[in-house]
Amino acid sequence: MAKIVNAADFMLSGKQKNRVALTTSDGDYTFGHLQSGASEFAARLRDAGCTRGDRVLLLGANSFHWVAAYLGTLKAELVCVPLPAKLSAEELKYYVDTTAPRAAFVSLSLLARCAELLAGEAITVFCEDPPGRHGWFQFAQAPAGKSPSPLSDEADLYPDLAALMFTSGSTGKPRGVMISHRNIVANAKSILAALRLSAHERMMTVLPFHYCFGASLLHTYLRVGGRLVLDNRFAYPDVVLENMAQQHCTGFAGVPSHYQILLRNSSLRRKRLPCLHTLLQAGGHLAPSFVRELRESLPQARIFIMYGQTEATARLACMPPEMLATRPGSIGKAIPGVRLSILKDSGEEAAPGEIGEIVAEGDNVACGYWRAPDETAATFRNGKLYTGDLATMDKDGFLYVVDRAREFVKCGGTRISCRQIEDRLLECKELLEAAVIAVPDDVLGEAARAFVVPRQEPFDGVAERVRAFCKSSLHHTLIPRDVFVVESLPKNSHGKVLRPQLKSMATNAQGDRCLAMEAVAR
Amino acid sequence: MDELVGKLRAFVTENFLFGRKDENLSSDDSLIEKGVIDSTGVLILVAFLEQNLGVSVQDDEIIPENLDSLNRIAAFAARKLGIDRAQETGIETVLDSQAVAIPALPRS
Repeated sequence: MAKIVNAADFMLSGKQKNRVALTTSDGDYTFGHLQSGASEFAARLRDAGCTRGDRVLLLGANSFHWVAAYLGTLKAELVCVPLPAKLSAEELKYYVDTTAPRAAFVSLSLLARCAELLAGEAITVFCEDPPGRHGWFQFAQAPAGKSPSPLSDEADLYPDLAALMFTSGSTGKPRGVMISHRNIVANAKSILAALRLSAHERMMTVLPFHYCFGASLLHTYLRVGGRLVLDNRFAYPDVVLENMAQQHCTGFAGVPSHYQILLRNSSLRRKRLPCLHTLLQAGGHLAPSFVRELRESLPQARIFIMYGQTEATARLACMPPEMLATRPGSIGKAIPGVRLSILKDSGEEAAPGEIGEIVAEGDNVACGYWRAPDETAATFRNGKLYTGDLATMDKDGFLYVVDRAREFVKCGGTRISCRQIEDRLLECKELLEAAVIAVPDDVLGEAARAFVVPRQEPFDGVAERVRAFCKSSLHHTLIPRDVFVVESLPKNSHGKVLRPQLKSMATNAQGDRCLAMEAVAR
Repeated sequence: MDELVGKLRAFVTENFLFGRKDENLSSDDSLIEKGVIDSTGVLILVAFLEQNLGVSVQDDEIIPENLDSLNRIAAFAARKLGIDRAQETGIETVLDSQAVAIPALPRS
């Protein structure tokens, strides 16, 4: 059997010790800092009694200590469980019960919130040293004699297990995707081949590392010897843009809402960013009008529109930047090392232009869902990943994602895609975001209800102007029956709009900030 | 100042912390780190400062240094309102500062 490469070694080995790997608000950290930090954290975990396959929670915003703890956990052949920083006590309890961790890294700012819960379990808690020091102090120790519930038999089935990446699905409880060292290494190699990154890269990193897209930035940029500039202040997009200019960032990675905000609610168009030449976009569909605006605002940049999911480690397909203009809306082709097919319900491959499910094969396909045999069996069949996304492939092999079956409006016998209406609404420059759902209609069966977020206040008159825009620009079948103007759309921690919540929003009681502010019926 | 912090706390609690009864936000806590605010939230906060507290906020003042905790927002608002008040009383203050600035005449 071929030797399994350790993902931490994959990222750190062969790097010059004094080469800067991370730039943070606390200063620069080199590959040497990461190497010694990872070794130290690995040793602390072993001293705390952790053995291969034990789970280690990682709780904190992106930072040097988070990255060193992640790499240290991988180095020690333990299983990382990166979690969102914004967790309620109830959610944290769910993750603790599900994964039965033996240790945790908790950042200082979260310690107060988590300490009580974690202290009650058999978990050794590490916290980062104050700024200027690169180690950890042990906050809590597992009580002697108490050990976590015996879940290690599951981890034994996957000796190569590296991380549990929880997908915050829009329905039901988050599920832990089991990612192996092999998955990480394979997907990183594929992405590097598709993007052709060099060691001179400086990537502005606003994406959290607990999210597979954020983690993929770590895996690829560290591997190639580039630098990650960490900035957790995207709530202030102009501040991040200024940091990009000062740090001479060569790249930016974001989900659709990052680009929407940059294009319509920031000073991006007035900013000089001569070093910026790579833009990565994944995590959902970016409407064609935004892709166009991005190309116009940053003509020197290669824009990579990408597709993937946590179950595929991160990435499955990528659009060549030079073809963006000729194939709008495409997610491109499979990245090297990945094979994508479009399969009909019958299991046969769909013909060009026929809708089917995207099914993926490759060393990046995850091992399954943690402690969820039924879901695993449904999604991972015969080594293939059934993505649940519907798409078509054209005769040249380019993929176009179609809405999932439930995201259509069946209006008077015609099936209209919600995304199509959203894309058209977003041509109205006054809007930052739009989401469309199907709601019951006495006459037509279903009608389209649009929730739109204006770029800025005041919101007066927005609904009327959007209605006027629809009347003048949209085919009558695409005009929503209702237009609700809202301050924001409900989203999960990966920035994906929570559609089920939209359905109940209009009938919600007061107190909800997302309550529709204006409704204009046709 | 306490009254100002109180008003801000009430606004933030109602608009950004609804439903999160286990949230413990101290007046010094970073709203970013606590995950309380996103970019839309920042704009809503700025609108509140302008419309409800009469603070005029320039684009280059929308930075974490001014807005990232209840105490920082209060200090920022108080500073801005203080300056506005001085401009109303106007001439007196300008003359005072000019008197201080005049250098001693050199000996011939």
